[in-house]
Amino acid sequence: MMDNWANILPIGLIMAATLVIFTGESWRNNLIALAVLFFGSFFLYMQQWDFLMAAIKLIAGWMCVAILSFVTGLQDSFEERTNTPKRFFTVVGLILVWVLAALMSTRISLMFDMSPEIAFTSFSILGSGLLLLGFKSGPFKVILGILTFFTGFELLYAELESSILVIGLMAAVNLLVAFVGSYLVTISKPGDTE
Amino acid sequence: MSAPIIWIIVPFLAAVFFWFIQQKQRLVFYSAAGLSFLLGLVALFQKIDSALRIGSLAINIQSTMTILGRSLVLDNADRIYLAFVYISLFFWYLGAQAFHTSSKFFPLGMAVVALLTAGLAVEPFLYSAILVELAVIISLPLLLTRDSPIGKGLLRYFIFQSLALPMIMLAGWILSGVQTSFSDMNQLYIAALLLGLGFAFWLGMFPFHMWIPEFCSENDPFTNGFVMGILPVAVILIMLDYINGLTWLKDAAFITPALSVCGTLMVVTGGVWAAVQTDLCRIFGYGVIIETGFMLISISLRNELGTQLFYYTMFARAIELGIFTLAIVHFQKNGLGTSLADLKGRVKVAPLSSIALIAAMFSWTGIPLLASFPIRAVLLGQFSTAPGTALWALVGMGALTWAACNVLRSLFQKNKEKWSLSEDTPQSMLFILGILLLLLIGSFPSLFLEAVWSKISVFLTML
Repeated sequence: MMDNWANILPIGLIMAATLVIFTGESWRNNLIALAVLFFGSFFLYMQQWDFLMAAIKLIAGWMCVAILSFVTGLQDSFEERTNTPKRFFTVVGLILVWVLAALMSTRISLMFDMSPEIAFTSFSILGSGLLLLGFKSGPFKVILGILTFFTGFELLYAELESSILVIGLMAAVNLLVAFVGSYLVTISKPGDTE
Repeated sequence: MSAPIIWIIVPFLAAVFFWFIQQKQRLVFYSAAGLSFLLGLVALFQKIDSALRIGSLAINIQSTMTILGRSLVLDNADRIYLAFVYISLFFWYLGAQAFHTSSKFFPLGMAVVALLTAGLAVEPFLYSAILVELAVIISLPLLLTRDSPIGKGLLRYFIFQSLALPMIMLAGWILSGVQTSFSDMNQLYIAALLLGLGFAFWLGMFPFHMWIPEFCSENDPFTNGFVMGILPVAVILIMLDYINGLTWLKDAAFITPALSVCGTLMVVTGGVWAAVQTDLCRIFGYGVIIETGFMLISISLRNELGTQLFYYTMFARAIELGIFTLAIVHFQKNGLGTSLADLKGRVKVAPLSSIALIAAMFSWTGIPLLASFPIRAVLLGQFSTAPGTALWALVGMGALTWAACNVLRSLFQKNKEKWSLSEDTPQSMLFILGILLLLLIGSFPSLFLEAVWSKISVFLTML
């Protein structure tokens, strides 16, 4: 059961974004989806923290997207052509992760004393990130996977801890991941940046 | 002045400064090596929470520094780690200069060490996970070179180290909440499970170890050796801090068997896989796994002897990994190859690096007269009443001996090349120093190891 039915909108946005990150073939769509994921999470953060702290998360997330887009945009293409059965299989995998997150959310929400929809959302983002890290092996998708995984964890952790230092350090970690990711993307196809 | 300023803030700021002047490689080398050696010496001889006297000037060195309500604490018990890590860094810098490694190694190496030290010093301890993650992220540009492709090993290293972060932070949060009352055993077990998983990811424990050999075979061997030499030691010390800092965890009955089983599995799987490898870089990766396994077995003893053996392993391991790395770098840079097929008869063209390689490998296996022999003998002797661990560890060591014999056979195979010395003077000096240290420690263990322990025991608060 949901504590707040208005959460359906950001949760829907987040799930659509993870689906695009998972199945998207163009880097542009993937980065837009990542930005939407951070935007959806921002609404959930606002229920736990004040506007300013939630905004810090949103800005840090969008900065990550910007850093990645500057470099990735210089590459010719990151499109990974996947055939329909493979895409079907990955989507089924993602749906299973969501089902698992839904089944776990009630127990997790009781254990950590948090609202069930935030438990569900954080675990579904976390699981999607893990699944992405398991399925994909290119540097760009790995960086997206790590950022997605961290977003899920931070959403869960936001319910437990509201320390400004943790928020700041996690924002630094995310930005450094994006910086290193852009470096990885650049040197993975060195000729394309010319 | 506080100890965290000396051993964390100063080296980190120096690393930032060195980054901007890295084109002046000679200057950066002398400054970075000098600073790391100085920091190591100060850690060895200067007590924390007492005055540092320079002539008439007396500076009181406090153990604690507070930042934003959190503390960085480095006390006398940490001095041996500080001395070890900064003197090791000094030797890595000597190796970097002798083997003409990229200039970015000097600033990034120092930044990694400073962040790992901060990870060990920070309180509450859940922040150590973030600081280790930052060290891992900073190590990535160090490991990457523009002319080599990004391999799966490097990405898996990044993934597994990143996966540890949420596990450790969640476990830290649960444990800090329930430390005062142990009523909810379920939460405690979940925390222990998360903590175990986090450390398994960090250390590459079985079955999360497969990235290590892949990682070691893909990237620059010098920086691999550095990261694999420093990171597991820092992580194990953080783990000891966690275990000792939590009463419930310290007294938990499952800690000893868990550490012992994980360590033994690492030794067995590492040894068996090393035996079937045909590339030195991959053998190095399995060697790292075996050494970490032995360190876990040592701390599983949970007594003074276990601590003593852990610190001995730490020193012997640093020398073994160091000269093994330098030998691989020498083979690669001189186009001699690193596969067993390429190594045939190479002892004639690279005698010192070949002997260093053999000495390091046989020391790993615990062959008498080499550094690890007395440590392995005493450690396995502790399991005489429950010989399962010792027997399985012997299986791993036997398999590693097989791998060492394969390398030996390849290097000494007959070929038509004439004897020559491809190592230059600084490289030869490093190899000779490493080989001599392995032989001296192995031949006179009481002289060297007891001397080291007499110094360590002053610093340590025992387990």
